Amino acid sequence: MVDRARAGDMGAFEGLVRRHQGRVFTLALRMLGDRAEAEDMAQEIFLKAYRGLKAFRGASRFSTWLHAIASHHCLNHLEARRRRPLQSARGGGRPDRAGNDPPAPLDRLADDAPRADQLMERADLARLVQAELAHLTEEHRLVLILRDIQGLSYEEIAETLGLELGTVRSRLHRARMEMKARLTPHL
Amino acid sequence: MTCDEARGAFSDLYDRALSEPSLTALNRHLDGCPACRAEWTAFRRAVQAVTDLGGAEPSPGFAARVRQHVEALPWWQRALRWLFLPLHVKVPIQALALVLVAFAGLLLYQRSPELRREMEPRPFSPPPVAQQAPMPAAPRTTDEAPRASAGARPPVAAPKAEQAAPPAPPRSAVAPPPQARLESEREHDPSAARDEAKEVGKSTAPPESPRATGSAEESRAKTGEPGMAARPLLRSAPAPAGQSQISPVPPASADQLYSAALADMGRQRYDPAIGSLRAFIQQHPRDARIPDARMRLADAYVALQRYADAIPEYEALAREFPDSPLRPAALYRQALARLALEDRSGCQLLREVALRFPQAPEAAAARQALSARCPE
Repeated sequence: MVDRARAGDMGAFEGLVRRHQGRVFTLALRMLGDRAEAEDMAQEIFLKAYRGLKAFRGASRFSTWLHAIASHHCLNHLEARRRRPLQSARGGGRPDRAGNDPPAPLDRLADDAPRADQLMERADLARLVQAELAHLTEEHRLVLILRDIQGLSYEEIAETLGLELGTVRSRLHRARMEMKARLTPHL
Repeated sequence: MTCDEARGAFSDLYDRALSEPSLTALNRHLDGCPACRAEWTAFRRAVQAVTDLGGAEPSPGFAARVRQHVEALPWWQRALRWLFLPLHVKVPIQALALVLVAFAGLLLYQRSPELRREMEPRPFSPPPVAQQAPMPAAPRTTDEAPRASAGARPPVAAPKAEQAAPPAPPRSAVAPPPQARLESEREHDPSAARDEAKEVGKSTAPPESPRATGSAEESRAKTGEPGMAARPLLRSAPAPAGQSQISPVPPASADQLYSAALADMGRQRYDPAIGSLRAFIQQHPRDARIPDARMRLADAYVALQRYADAIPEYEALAREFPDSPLRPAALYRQALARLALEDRSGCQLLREVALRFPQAPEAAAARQALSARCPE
């Protein structure tokens, strides 16, 4: 299917999108915390993949290659959003009186969201976890999502992100420990 | 195994990535340490909670929408995508093409004398009227006379020069043709000056009168400019402020011109910087960077010791942008430029800076300059 898509078969490309859309969308959703934004992001990722399809030479699995595109696109998007907080409708906000920058969109999601104990009262654990995920650094969040939600192996994560295996291990451990510290009072 | 070591291995334990001896040691520690056991339980629950977030699916019709997007790409983008080779092949080809184009350009340049002449700085041939005009006593008056009519200072030598000039075509006496004006500005370029000297030697133009030459040398002595025979003659008909001075710069975006000027200023290439800044000011008069451009333009002139050219720029900045934060600096530097030309009105300007802008850093410098250079 990849070969046919590379040759310009749009049906084959649509098939590839169908096959991988769940994983790409999940990654975008867990990284960004917003469904509409994640869907836009997933669409951009597939457009990028389409444009780069000619360059895909099959050295890695297509899913790993696609995950790499998705991961870097998410990181770039979050970086760009952080740099222009005032222009972003979702992330917009003036500095507070103390002169602090407005919180990143995901931080705001967490701050705007009901307090953790209220969430627990509503048994909305998923929302709580998503909100707490937003407090991790983007690099830690990404590794945690790739491992504990997407189920990639350490080796696949290292290949996807272009990292050493040891770096993946340490980032994952730190991300998990931080999530443990954040979630323990509510679990 | 310590508690820290045990907790540091939680992630590997969760992923079953521990070696057999490590696993045994960790289990033994957990059996004997209730605190670590509680930590491990909390760790497992937290990771499980993350895993339970699970996957998600986009809204129905997502794949079809992506396909529509791809197919909606402009025809030329799709054509380029399918026609062009992958990047690893394309980049070397493009690099080779670039080298070939550069080589062809160089070849063309070398074999075309017309092009070479166009690229080289044009030598100056003084307008006849200017050659015949007697030189004023003070060097700056040659610069300032025409500018003074547009600026704030009173005309000093221009009327005299015009009166003393022998009958000549009026248009030359009042304003030289555009090309002459451009060339009159090029004279400040030392390399152009060298060429100019050669060309003047070859030219059929009548030699300068001894009086004119004497005035020229006197002028240079005062301004500190390098000597050049025909130079002061040009000053009798300088370009009005705001006209292109160095070389015509083709229309370009404000950012391009401004960046080029900044880059040239940074490399102390003041002549091209002046050209870019002039073009910027002329082509983009409403740009918010105009005050800054005027200041830099004047500074560039000062760097070339062209104080008489710098003064109108400082003046224009102070006059046109009375609220600009650059105003005190513009007045202060204008004062120094005037003093460099032995113009005592610089002292008055220094007093003005010290009195009107007492909070500005230039005020202290102005007071210092006053005491050093303007004794009562």
